[in-house]
Amino acid sequence: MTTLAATVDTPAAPSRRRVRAFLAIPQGLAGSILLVLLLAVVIIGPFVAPYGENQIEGAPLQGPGGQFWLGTDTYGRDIFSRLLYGGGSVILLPLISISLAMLVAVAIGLLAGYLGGWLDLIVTRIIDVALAIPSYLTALVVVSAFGTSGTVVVVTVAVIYAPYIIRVLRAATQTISPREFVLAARARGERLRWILFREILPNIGPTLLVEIALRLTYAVMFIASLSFLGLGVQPPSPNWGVMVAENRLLLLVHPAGVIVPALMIGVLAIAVNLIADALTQFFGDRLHGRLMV
Amino acid sequence: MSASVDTQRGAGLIRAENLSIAYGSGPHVTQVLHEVTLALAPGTITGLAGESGSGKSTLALALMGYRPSGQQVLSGRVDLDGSRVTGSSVRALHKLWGARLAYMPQDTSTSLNPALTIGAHFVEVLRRRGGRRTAAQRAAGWMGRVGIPEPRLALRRYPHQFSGGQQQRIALALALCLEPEVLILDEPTTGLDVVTQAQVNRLIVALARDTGVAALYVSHNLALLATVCDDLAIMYAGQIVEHGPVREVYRAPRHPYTSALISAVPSISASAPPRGIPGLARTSAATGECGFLDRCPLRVDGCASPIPLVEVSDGHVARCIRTAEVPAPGVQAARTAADREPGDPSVLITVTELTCQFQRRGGGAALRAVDGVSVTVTAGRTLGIAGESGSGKSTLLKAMAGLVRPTEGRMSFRGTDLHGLAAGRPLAVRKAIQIVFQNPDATLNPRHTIGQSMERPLRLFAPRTGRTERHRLIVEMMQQVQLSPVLLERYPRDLSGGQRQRVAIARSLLAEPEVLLCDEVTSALDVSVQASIIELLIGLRDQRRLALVFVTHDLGVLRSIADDAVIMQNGQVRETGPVAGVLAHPTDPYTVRLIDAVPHPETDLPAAPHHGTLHEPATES
Repeated sequence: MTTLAATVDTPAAPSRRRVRAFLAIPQGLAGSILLVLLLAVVIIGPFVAPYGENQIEGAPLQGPGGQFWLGTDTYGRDIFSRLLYGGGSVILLPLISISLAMLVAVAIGLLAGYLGGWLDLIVTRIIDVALAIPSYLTALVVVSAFGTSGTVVVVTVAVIYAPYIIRVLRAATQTISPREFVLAARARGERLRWILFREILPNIGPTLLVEIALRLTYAVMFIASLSFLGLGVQPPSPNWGVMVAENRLLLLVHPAGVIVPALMIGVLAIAVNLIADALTQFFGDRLHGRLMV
Repeated sequence: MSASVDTQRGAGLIRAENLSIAYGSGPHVTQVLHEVTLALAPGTITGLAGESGSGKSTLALALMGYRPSGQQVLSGRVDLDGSRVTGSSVRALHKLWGARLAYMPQDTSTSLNPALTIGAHFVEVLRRRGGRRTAAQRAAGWMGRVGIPEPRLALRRYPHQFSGGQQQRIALALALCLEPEVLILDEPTTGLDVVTQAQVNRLIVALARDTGVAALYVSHNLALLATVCDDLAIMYAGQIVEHGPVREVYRAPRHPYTSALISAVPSISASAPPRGIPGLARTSAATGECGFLDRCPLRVDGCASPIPLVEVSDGHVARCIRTAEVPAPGVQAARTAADREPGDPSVLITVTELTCQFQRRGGGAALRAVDGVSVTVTAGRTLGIAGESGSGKSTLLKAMAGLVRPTEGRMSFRGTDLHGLAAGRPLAVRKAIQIVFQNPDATLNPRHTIGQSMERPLRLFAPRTGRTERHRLIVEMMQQVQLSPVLLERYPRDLSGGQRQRVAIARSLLAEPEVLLCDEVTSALDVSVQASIIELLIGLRDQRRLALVFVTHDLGVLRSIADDAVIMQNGQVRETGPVAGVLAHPTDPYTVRLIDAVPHPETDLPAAPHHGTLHEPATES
């Protein structure tokens, strides 16, 4: 037994090694760089914008030039400044939405997966129904009933995405629940809360993380689409989706006003998606022992 | 037959010579075989025994010429009848495989294609010689030979329509149908129940004799090899440490490891508990010294230099410089319950007419996993529950632990009724009844450190214990199960299976239970580790007057740890009584069948050819 200490070396600073291993995956590196750049734009943007978000600065529909880098829109507002202001809601709304969905989904998914029985039956039936309804239709109905505020959009998107997350978490919980360490906890008479959150949840953490990243990608696109359709963030707010909608009629005359905000949404979605991809690979490698972190 | 063991000089039909094999590349090379020389002669079954990581499967595959990706042959060669196998082209190997070299794997669920009929499997093999036309006839012949009823009809069926034992028979027929000269069997009966295992092994021996094939039988089960093989080779740390006629090797081993390994095998006839081997097995090949050095009781200074194979008698070699001093496999003085300190034989758990019924999916009759079982658990004694898979033994144990709610009958602890589910039992009762599980990979939460796992029962059952006191108790317990407290900071994946099982036992003991329920706690472990866990449990039982309930499928293990035995089949108790009596004079026909199926080296050893019946009815289910 004395030889043990020598044979197993103590892992040094595991979190740093994990980050390094994650960034060693090409998608992880690319996604992280893109995301950091975008966040920089969104956070610093409002402070460095040459003009205000809704200030009418010049003649409408000017082309890109020295004074207005990306030109002006129909009202003569500077598109570049609006771009710098408009990222906050594009990133924040999906984040809040998915966090909300996650809170509900973790509770329901864990309970249904662990307890099974009639609760599980009811939950799965509801999910089946929920997944059968087209998400745009749900959004349309809710928004036309409750109006278009940020809160409504956030809650609607949370309600739409929660069933997907519940389904994944429920399945993951079901594979962990019959494991012997969970049985041991049950035999000890541990409380339900301990079993769910201390025994099971850490073991489905990877699944949860990947799911968060993936749903975030969809939510970014979805909320931007809703804004484009006029169901989400309302003008004159400078949301990127709203900007695409406002300027879309001028696409041929004045392409920058549509393409650049659309591009920003695309890059954000791609960045989050790359990270989701890298997380999947990272946890898969760790699971199969290809990575010792 | 026995003169064919000349590992050093003799020809043999197939022969590995100074074979060294490594995995990985660059700085991560792990050598798994070191200068292994092994020859197989026609008409002989050579057993290859070793614990996990000893390199036995690598050697078996190397004899086939199979080279998995990432593997490199460092030196040496394998020859078949004088022509080279190692390094042959894939095309050349394909000509050899099946026709001259045959392989029978452990797991038919992956070796038989579920989408093809058995007939299609045969055609695949047989078309290479003699054409398709005669294939059906020859296939049916072989199916008959391995004891599959209605061979012609059977060829039209799919693998899943056969039982596990029948699938292994079919795999054997497929391996032998081209009449190969060499047959490699890699743990061919490990996944099977003991009765089926015995039937398939009889068939393997009979067919090997019949066809005169040179067979290598790889297994971790030493007792089984002793009854099946002519020669026995023992592997440790990538080397063959001993090789000779099975009787000599098993009865009078000349390598300390062989002796220790045999002492670790639990025997159905001797009540002496098996003895574990101290220390951990090495996971890479020993290249410059004796691999067993750090665990050997006989080590001297000379052991650190390369040890040659020493011929101790005709055809019997051992890789040790002190072959003459190796002790015979030890038999400890038997200790029975009567010899132990007498205490009050208080009854702790009483189970009366217990039934656990499960509703089958999609309706149908309910499955009675446990069907009207009554047992009593007494302080300071071990109740052993044995039976084949599906006998309900584990369900019974889980019911006692409060993990499966019984449908009928009652259980009581110290006279008061036991609630069907653990959550419904008072704290004191949950504390008193602890359970340890079979699978060392799953018994500890992979996301908790060993320390966190150990801490839990203390927090739950002794919440007033302070932080330092908790730590002291945990460290003390770690030492009692012979684990270094260094491990407390580690995660389960850093530990070996045996170590994890010790942690699981320690965790249960921290609750200071009166009853310890053990569900096949040793069946996933190597035999030497199993022996040390059994030693540990027996010691703890006697020291703390624990009541043990030990569920096992292995009658040898049952004999070595139990005082009282319960034999179960299909959810019902077939026989019960003191373990020595039940195993020596069984009265129930099922018990008799079970005991007969256990390999019994003590009596079966005289290597008279086995008379296996070729056409025995396939009774296994």
